[in-house]
Amino acid sequence: MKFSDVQKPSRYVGGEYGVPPMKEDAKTTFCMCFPDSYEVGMSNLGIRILYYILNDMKDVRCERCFAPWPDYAEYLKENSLRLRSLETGTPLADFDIVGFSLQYELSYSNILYMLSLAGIPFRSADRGDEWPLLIAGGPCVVNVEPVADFFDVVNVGEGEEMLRNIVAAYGECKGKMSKAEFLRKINDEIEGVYVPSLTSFEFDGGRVAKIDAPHKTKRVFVRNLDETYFPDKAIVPTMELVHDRAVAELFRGCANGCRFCQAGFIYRPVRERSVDTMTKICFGLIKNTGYDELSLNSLSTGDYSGLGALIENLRPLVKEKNVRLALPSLRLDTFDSSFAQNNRLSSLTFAPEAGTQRLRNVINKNITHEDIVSSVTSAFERGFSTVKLYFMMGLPTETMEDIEGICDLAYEIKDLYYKHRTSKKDVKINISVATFIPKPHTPFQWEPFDSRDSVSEKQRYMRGRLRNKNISLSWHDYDCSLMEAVFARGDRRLSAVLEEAFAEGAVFDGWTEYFNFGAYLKAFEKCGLDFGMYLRERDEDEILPWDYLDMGVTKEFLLRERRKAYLAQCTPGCNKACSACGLQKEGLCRVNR
Amino acid sequence: MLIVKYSKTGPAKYASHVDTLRAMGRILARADVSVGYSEGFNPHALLFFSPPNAVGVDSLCEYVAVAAGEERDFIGRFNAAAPCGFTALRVWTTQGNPNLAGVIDGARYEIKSPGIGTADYGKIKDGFVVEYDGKDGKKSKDYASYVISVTTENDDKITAVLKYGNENLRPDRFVGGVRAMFGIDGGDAEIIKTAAFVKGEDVDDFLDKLHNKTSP
Repeated sequence: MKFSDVQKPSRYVGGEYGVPPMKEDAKTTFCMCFPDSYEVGMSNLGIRILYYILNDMKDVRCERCFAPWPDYAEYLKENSLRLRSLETGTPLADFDIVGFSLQYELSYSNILYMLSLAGIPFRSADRGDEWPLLIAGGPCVVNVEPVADFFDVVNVGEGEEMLRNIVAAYGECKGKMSKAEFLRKINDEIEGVYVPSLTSFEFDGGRVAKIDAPHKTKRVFVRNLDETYFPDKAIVPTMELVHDRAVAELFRGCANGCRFCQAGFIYRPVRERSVDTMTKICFGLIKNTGYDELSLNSLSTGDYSGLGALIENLRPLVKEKNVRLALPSLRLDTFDSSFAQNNRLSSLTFAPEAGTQRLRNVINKNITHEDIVSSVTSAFERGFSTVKLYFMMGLPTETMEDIEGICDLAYEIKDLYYKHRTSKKDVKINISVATFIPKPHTPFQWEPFDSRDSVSEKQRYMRGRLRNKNISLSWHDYDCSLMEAVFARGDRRLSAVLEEAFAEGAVFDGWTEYFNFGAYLKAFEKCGLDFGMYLRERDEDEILPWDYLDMGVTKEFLLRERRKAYLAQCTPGCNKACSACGLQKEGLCRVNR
Repeated sequence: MLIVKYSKTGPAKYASHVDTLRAMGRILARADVSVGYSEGFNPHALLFFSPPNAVGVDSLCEYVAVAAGEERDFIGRFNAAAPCGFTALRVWTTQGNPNLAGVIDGARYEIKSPGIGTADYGKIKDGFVVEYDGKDGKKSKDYASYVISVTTENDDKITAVLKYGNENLRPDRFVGGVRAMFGIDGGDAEIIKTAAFVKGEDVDDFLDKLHNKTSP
């Protein structure tokens, strides 16, 4: 196989605009790895920020590596080459530190895939001092246990300060102490550091019987975003990315507290950047990247207190530089169709998440039927003819009535279109229904994952009712969701399952064309584990695999929210009233108790 | 119109034509060149390229016509704003769009590959059927009339002038055809496009004549 036979070779050659000069004589070398393809990984904002932070450090060189597509992996193997960094072509095994960003559970098999191509042993216990230190970070580390056996160090929380501290400590200690001594040192001295090998678990069947940890690991978060580094530059690849645009982060955290949403709890409290800082960042980004699209990112962009002022400040970019603004994650209750129209959007996406008001109250999606009707109507009156609606099935307390509600809403929206349309075009309503996955650190962390039979029945019903030329229906593959659910609340015993599944061919699990459920079934069998034990409802007094973490949000608050969910009672967003989630003690919230 | 001649080598040679289009828009934006935009729902920068270069082939002679006037230190600004491998070499100004994609019809390639100089290129004019992977599986075509000239430098190096543009023979496909026809083995060939032509005239000379004049 020749390199010229490899698809999209730009993925593997580097040389993009915006790569900082590489310090040849750096004392500490770090390879930032992303266990998915180049175009997915390069779209990630977190690693962009950390990449520049590390390269700004004296004596540190940070490079990148992404999961190669299987054809390039074959090329590497055929030519006896090892997986290398993009910037200097250094084999991963030759770095001091190799960091992985864990963004979604279905990328776990790709960690092993990359390590295998790099010739690095999987388990931390099998890597002596001659091997790189393996670090994990990213949202999935709020339950890192399924991959705990592979990593030496885990960064829990926001990486800006923490990673800088770890890398600086590494530089100071290099050559002066053993890996074991170093791990013990940073475990004791740096907040947010979790060293899996220092914590042990005892299991009793499907349950955790005991966790023996040196101390609770406290999640780290930045207190003042205005004072926190945010790059006004970016690496601008020549090939197209999944999210190929400049990205500016408005705020972290989300005030809404939707009970199914992990991000809504693990990034609390809400911390905004000021309009002045945002304006500077946005102008800098457009000037330095040459992008003609700018995304104002956050978990709920309509909630940004300075949105109107910021958009006003950005007007020269839109008018004179032809820059398009993108506002992802707009909630229905904050949707302003004039904005959408001014930005030449042709299709709108809304996420009611549930089909009835009762169930929307259960999940604390604080939007009403009227919000949906008025937003959609206003969009149709402004000429939109395509809407995409996101729903979930398998939510706690769900009945067939809620599934009927999804179908009713689809037809109601269709009728609204024909009442308010501005052209002869037919409406297109795309309904996407995901299977609800209970996630750690949410009020639904104790809930079961819906059974295959129940999901099939609901899908059958919807397929029957939504047979209409204006409505298209899609859902996520059940087996994919099932594996995500297993990993989301899994424990350390899954590291062995992952190894077996990888040996059976599991790779790129997040890509439908590669997802191999059979490999996992065989792996569970080989390991003598029943995946059902990871999908079941958990007892409220049961020890959860992530109980050694102090996330700031208390278990008592999550339990209170769970009770309110069963009563279909809403909790107001924390920009309206404080519900004492635990983080109010930090004194960063806008509404004080 | 501002006509820019640039090279596309190293990592940039893997940029597809669409990638190049996008990259060029961003280079010009970063270099703060004021470019004219199209009208309509999705305004885009008015850029007109020479014909697509095959992915993986180094080129010393790509051209783009930019809807812009003369700019101070254009080459310096362009190169400071360009990713590795895109390098502006020369600029011309013309009164109209010279339609390079339409008029360019040939290109010269330097090809290095073990044994490539041992073939009897005289035989090609009698028939040169090349098999290649098309979108719908294997395809073949007789490209005899697309090979304008071949000069052998040594056993491992040739210079070939091939049709390029609306009628096009990709140099990597040419190498594949030669290898198949004459039984030569080989891995990745090293190919550099060194010149492009308009009816046999180097595009640089063609543009020299148009410089500051109205296009025909």
